[in-house]
Amino acid sequence: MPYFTSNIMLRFIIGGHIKEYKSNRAVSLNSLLRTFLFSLVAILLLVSLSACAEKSASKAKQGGTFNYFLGEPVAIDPAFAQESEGLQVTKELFDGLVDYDPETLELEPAVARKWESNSKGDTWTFWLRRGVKFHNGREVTAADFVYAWDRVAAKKTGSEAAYHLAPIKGFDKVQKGQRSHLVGVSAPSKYVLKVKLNYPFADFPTILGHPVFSPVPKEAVKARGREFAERPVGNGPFAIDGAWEHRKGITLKRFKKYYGAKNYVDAVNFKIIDNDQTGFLEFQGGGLDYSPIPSGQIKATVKQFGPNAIVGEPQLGLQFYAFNLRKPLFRKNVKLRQAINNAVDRTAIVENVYENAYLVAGGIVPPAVEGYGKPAREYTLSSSRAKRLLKEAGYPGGRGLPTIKLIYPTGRGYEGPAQIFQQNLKDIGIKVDLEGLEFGAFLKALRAGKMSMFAAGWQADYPSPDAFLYQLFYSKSGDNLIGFSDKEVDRLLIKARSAVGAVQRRRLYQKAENQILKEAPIVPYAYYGTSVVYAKRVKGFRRTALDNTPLDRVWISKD
Amino acid sequence: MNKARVGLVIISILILLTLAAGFLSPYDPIRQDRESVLKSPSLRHPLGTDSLGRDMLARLLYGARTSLTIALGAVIFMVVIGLPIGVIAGYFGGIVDSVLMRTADVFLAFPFVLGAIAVMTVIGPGARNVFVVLAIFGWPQIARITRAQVKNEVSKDYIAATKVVGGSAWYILWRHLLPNTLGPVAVYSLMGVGSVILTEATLSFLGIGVQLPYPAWGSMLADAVGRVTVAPWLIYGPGAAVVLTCLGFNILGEALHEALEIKI
Repeated sequence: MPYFTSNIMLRFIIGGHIKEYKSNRAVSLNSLLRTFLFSLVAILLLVSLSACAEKSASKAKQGGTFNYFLGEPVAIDPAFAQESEGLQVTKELFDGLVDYDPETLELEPAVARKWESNSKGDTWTFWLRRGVKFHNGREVTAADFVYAWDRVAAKKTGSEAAYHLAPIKGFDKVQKGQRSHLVGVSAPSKYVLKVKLNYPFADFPTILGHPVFSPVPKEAVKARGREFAERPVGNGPFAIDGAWEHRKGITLKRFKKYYGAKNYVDAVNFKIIDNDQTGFLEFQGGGLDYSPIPSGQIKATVKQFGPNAIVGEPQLGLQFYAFNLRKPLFRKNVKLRQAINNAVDRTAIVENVYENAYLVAGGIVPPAVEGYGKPAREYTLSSSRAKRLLKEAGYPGGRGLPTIKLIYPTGRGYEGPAQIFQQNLKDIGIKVDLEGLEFGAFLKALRAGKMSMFAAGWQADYPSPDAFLYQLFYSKSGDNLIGFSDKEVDRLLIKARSAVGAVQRRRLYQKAENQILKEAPIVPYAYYGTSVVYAKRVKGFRRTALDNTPLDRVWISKD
Repeated sequence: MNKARVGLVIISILILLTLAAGFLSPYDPIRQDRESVLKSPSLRHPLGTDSLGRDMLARLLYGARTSLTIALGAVIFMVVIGLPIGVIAGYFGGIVDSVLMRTADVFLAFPFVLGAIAVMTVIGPGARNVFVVLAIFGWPQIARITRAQVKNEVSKDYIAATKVVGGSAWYILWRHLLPNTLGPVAVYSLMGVGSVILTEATLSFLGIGVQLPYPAWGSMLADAVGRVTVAPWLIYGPGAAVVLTCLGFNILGEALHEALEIKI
């Protein structure tokens, strides 16, 4: 089966579909021309690729086990999965309405075969594919989405990712426990799902690729109870084999009745290792087929593994230091936050620690977000500006300022940047103490809002500026862990979501980003680039810009 | 050269180097230099530089200061807690003995490193807490050794004789039992320094010991492990330092052990 071909065909189908729901946008001659040229290039690509695909697909083999390096996830139940590790597993276990093309991140159909909105953009209809099966053998229907979304939104579930459903009508009431059903979600027939939103949201389908929107089988949730979180039943290309063995591993086996493209490997063995270094050493020893490359060893790894080291491809991710704005020292003093932002030598971090595989970040939304462009405001190193701002903040030369404690998770590569940051701040007179916490303890402290300043990495959950601005800075977002709240930013973000035209939407997001940067609630310093390596025996490996490896596409050659 | 001398020489050299750190290396161990990142050993930097351009020799020497201070401090602390408990348990026996020794057993039930990690996660990382944790998990061993020794002494005739002539419990404990237990405790403590240094290195290696950017052998090794193919010199200094120090204290401990056995 020529895998690539079918995939590109799919994209053509959606291409037409996307145009359908965007038809109310003004069509310029320019865009027509672009569409024509794009199609031409795409057809040429299709022809050449299908030729290649034929060749490589003929070699693609079924079987084998893929050994994957993973940190201990927070959760693998789609209602609770929230970080890269959990999402990696959840995405293999579950398929939502839509998915993203691994290369382009364009939206592609998954359980939904097509979708459409009303002209206002606040009511969406999804037509589901027939014959999609849960791992227990039952067919997935629209009612399963209704149940799953009600479950996520319910107060007693207590999902930290529930806020993704906030645009849906009735969310607030379900979240408060006043109702058990989202009034905005209904299943008029077995294969049709209707969603009513609180406001027009042109990009709504884009956020649906997040696993929190996955369908779950009610009977399995009821039967397994709490255990469902350890042994979830999904509808994705792989099913869980046994249960999640905490801090040890998660094994998945190929789901034979999967509706999508062929999944090649028989099993995926997620080996849970708590330290980048340890995992990488095991990879070098042949015990793993995939590992991130620890900071500082990128060049050496490229030398050793050649094209199997995927380095420097822009990711939709940001590494930053966050001020906890609930602490008076930071809340009250925007000048202090700006001063610190101007003091950081981002180039040193990216060059020394990340060997230029990452990009210097002075803003929030990475340039890799399709069609976004550069933010209007970016922070760069300027000692004089930093010193001036520090003086204006009331701490000339750092006098009178208490020592700032920066907390980071250990063993995940944050040590180098943190020490450079500390040195940078010392140079303008600010004393910083570093404290490393084991990752589990770090996450706990993070959720508890205890740390006054912490290191963080954020990977977008969906390919849109919204995944950075709304998720991190909208006042009611569950991932806004810094206590940032600004009425103007909230207004701009909702307005951007409601905007129908892409250009207008982008402008609104840029405006919001500019406003956030002015407030300087975080110190962005690097946009992620890929730095992962996979074993020679693995073929069809792909790292998406969403920090994820679609495992249904890999296969293992015998040599 | 006999064992005691070898041990003494190693440890003296180590202590001298530590004291003369500022004199031997002109560099600040935490000052970063972007111009000399990962430089191999040279005349300017005899042990090379690390990934942030810091002089490895300086970090090693100041790291020795931290490691030795923590180790010696922790061992003294262990003895201060463990010795009296052991003496009391051994002398009075009965319920006092049971209560104290079962308490010690509780601490001994945890594997040393695992227990230390667990406690560090709760009380937070840092040099001071490493010290506390080492003392918490180290004292029961001292208490046990002391108790065994005291039990042995108590049954001897001279103690009975002292009791007969009216020696108080305090007098017996202070004048007879304590001095007689010091030998084994000293041997164990010296050997303990080595294992305490290893544990401190383990904790710092895991990132929950001495906090960055302050140098410690463990965290230096953690940084070196990943870069061993690119910058092997990073591992020589801290690796050798840990091995030699442990060796020094163990040899000395063993020598003392032999010496005391001859005497006894």
